[in-house]
Amino acid sequence: MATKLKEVDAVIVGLGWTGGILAKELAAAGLKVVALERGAMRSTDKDFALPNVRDELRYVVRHELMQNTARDTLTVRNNPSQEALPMRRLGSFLPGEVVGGSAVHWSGHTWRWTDMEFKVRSLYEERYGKNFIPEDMTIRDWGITYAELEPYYDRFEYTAAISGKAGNIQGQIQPGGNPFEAPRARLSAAAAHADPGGRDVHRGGEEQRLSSVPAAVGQRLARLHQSRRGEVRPLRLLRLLPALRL
Amino acid sequence: MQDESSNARGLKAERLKAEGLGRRDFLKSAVVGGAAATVSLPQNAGAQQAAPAPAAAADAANPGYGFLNLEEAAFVEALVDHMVPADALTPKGTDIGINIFIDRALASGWGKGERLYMQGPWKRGAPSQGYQLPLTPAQLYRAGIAATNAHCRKTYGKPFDRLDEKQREEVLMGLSTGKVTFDDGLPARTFWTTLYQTVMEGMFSDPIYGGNRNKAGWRLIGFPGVIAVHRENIVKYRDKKFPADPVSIADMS
Repeated sequence: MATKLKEVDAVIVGLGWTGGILAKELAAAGLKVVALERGAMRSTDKDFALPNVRDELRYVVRHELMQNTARDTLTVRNNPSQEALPMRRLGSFLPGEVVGGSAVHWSGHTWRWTDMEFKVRSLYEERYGKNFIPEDMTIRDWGITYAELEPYYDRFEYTAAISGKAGNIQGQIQPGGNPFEAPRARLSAAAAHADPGGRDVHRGGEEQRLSSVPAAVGQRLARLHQSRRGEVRPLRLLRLLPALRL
Repeated sequence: MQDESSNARGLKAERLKAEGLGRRDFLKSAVVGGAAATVSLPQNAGAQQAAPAPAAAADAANPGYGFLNLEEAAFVEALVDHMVPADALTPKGTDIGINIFIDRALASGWGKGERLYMQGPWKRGAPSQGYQLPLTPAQLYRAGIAATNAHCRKTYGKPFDRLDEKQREEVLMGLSTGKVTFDDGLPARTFWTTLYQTVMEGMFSDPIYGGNRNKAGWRLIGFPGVIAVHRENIVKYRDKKFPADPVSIADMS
């Protein structure tokens, strides 16, 4: 027999990043909120504790924190002439499961876009001419500017306690920060982690050292996932491909 | 899919017919009854009865097999000792437990298809559409070993584990390049991909899984293991060789 639960103002189905932010906002506005999420009950102290949380076979290879594709999955094709087939294992993207969703296993980096990434089509056309981008390439401007979005970046970063060294505060380049950043209104929500220093790069057979760009890091969650903190490349790549963002 | 059906109409068709084993039949029966049902292998129960001689059972380095039968165990031992030979870099594969890792992995949830979508439609698909066989990793392994040994018997007159080093190399290169194809229709390269993956996992996963014994794989590549924070070491060992004294989960527990 169905159990009838007490009525609430809002029910959120799926408590990942999006549902989590919504739940917080609705609760803060005085609504009674219930959120539903599937999967095992996990707790930080038991399930994300050293040393087992470092088990790469279990988590990185066998995807224990990810959605279980044996239960349900997507079908995928690479172009319209193919027949879509089930994605039988996760691969190119890793949706999460249980409370927190993908926020449980993310790499802990929250990069802001630079100003130019919002108007990449205009900038390419300005620089290389109208005919530079092929007709069938659908890349376009976002129709919204960095400046318009800045207050929301700020609000999210303070909500999630993102740490980092600001590179540009109201147009003033900050020593030790990322000089390529678009301006932000104020300091980061939390102090930057100690930086292990510059990264070594190889160029033309000769070793050079570049100064590193301090990353904006989700501090609370990053503490659980320190082994992955060094990996900035995938997110940086995503940043450069606005057409792929979901 | 099309390649496969034109192959089936070609030279191999006769043989497949003789064995009553077209590719689709193979795949279908594999789904229903497990791949072992389509190939005549010694049953696992028999192997388990025969295997543990008292001396072997007492040997901590070789605790015996939970999944692999005698023929499969011989194959896997030969495979890992060929792919990871004893040399200046590491002891040989069976001495660092890669065979034990593989046996446990196949007996585990992963081997049984945990997290693997196992419902139709079953089509071969493009390589970019990923794994599409209706076989769990354990079923694929079992069928692949049988098919590889059948290939070896046909080509060299004996199973893989009794081949010499040069012949083993030839077989494995053949699997990895697609030069070897299996008469029963199992895609050899898909089997190879899984073989290679499990050998690598047995070499580099935490020793709790039975492989990477004495952290030999981690020592080889200078991997520090499961230590909590690497940040200080990045500064401390810049431009210096990292002294690989890796820490495993058991060391930290």
